[in-house]
Amino acid sequence: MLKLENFLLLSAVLFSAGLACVLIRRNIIQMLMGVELILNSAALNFVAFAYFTPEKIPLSGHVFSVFIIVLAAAEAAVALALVLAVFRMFGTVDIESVKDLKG
Amino acid sequence: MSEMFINLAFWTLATLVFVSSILVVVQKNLIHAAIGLFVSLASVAGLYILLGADFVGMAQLLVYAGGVLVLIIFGVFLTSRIYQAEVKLTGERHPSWLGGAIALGIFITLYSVISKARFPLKEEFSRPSTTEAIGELFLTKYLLPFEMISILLVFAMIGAVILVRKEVRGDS
Repeated sequence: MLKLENFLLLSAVLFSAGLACVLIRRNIIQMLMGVELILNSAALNFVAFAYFTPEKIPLSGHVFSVFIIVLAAAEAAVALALVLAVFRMFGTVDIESVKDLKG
Repeated sequence: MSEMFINLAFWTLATLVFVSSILVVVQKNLIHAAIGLFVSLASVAGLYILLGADFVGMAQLLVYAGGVLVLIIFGVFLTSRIYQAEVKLTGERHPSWLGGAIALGIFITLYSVISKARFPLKEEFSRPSTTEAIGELFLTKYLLPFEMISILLVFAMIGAVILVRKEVRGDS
């Protein structure tokens, strides 16, 4: 039988992995992958709670998950555009070397 | 679906999610990390379907595995070819174990909270198709967020195009 705790723990694993990715890695693109993992853990929580909720038609969680997916797609597009702009300006995607506000 | 199949599917998908999300963090090769991200996202889509969220699962596969992953791999290809040899993976000011320790501490906190919390759960489960009901919710209860997010998508698209275009002559 599926248990809510298992899903929440799995989502916690996803969140922690994403957080570690953002904190440890210095490559902007890999940090972005960590952000995607974090967003995914939130969406997984929504769907899991929607499944286990006592409500009759528990679809609000699904709707919010779809919103999260759309937001993540928009975020990825803008963030990768920023990464390309940073790469064009600084010649690198190492987060430590991006120090100037006006190049 | 039988109980055993559901359990087997859950633990297989959970193992895949666990291993591949760890792979995203520790993998030094960006393309390998992207493949790990793909496996992780696809397994989460499988979990959605296991939870009866067929529409969300398909959206996850289409948007994430189909769209975002391709974008990320394009980003890797466009930015990492020149200075491949001198990529520094961790910062100098903060030791890398510190970030890992923070993430691990937050995971332990989440674990203790989740294992203590009690939620009112329903007893029996049914899994009808959700697409129709979700479409109705989009156009009734969640109409305003739905329209807002379409406007946001337009803005994100325009912003991305403006950010990556070449400088036009005569532009300041």
